[in-house]
Amino acid sequence: MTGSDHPGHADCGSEVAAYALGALEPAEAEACRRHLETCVACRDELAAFAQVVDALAISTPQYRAPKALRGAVLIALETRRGPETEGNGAFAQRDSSRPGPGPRSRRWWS
Amino acid sequence: MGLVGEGEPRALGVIFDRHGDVAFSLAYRMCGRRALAEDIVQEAFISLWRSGGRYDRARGSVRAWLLSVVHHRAVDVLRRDAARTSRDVSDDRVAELLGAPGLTDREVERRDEARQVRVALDGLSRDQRRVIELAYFGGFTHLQIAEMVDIPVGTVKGRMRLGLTKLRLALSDLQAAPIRELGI
Repeated sequence: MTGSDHPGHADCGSEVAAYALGALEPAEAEACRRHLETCVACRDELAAFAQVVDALAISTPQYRAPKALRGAVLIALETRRGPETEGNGAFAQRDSSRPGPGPRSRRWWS
Repeated sequence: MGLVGEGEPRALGVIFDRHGDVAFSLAYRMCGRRALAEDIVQEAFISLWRSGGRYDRARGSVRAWLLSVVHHRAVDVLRRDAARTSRDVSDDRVAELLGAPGLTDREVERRDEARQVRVALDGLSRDQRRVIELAYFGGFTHLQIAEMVDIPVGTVKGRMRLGLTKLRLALSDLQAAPIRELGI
């Protein structure tokens, strides 16, 4: 990571690829995140990689979700009722070494 | 998703009907155990429910969002699982593969999408595919992968970058080409 002028930008791409895959160690991920704040080229590359990484999610063999699972989800909602307040849900406790879950950009397979 | 944000449980049921299979498939692929995959999917849907009010359609589909949450939760589980030795698809109950007969149009479309991505993955070198799959589906870091595969860390990251770049190009081509022309 070399900062906003990124003279060594060619070296950044591999770091960004690993970051997109969630494969950096926490300290490395944090450094990458800081670099991304100042490097437009790396942000663009991350956006492109993120679409590819997200597409991997649908490359798996497709299974039928167990019938009972739907009911279990809805029952669980009854016991943990109500949408969350800010900072109280899935995204509050994620591993900071990985790019956050959630919408990043429009995917071709959406 | 608007109804989910308003706390309407039936809305989440509709989302489960549409995306439950693909969410379960990802979780099952990653952890290899049906019961664990069910837990991951359940938690992901609850997260979706709790976060519904913050969903921004302009930034991506519900499915992409859901799968991202499933993936993160599965990686968390895998990284907590120190043993990591029992990950196979033979533990408790084997999940039911979606077969061709009886598939809805939506399911057929999704199966074709999955095939497209698999074709793109198959276009990578074995080494590139391996590091990407270990990272994404296995939840391993580049240091762990370097040790497992016995190659330098820089090589791992280089293969990741090259592989993702090739995938991006391949998926662009696939997006533009009708599936039947690809013979899949």
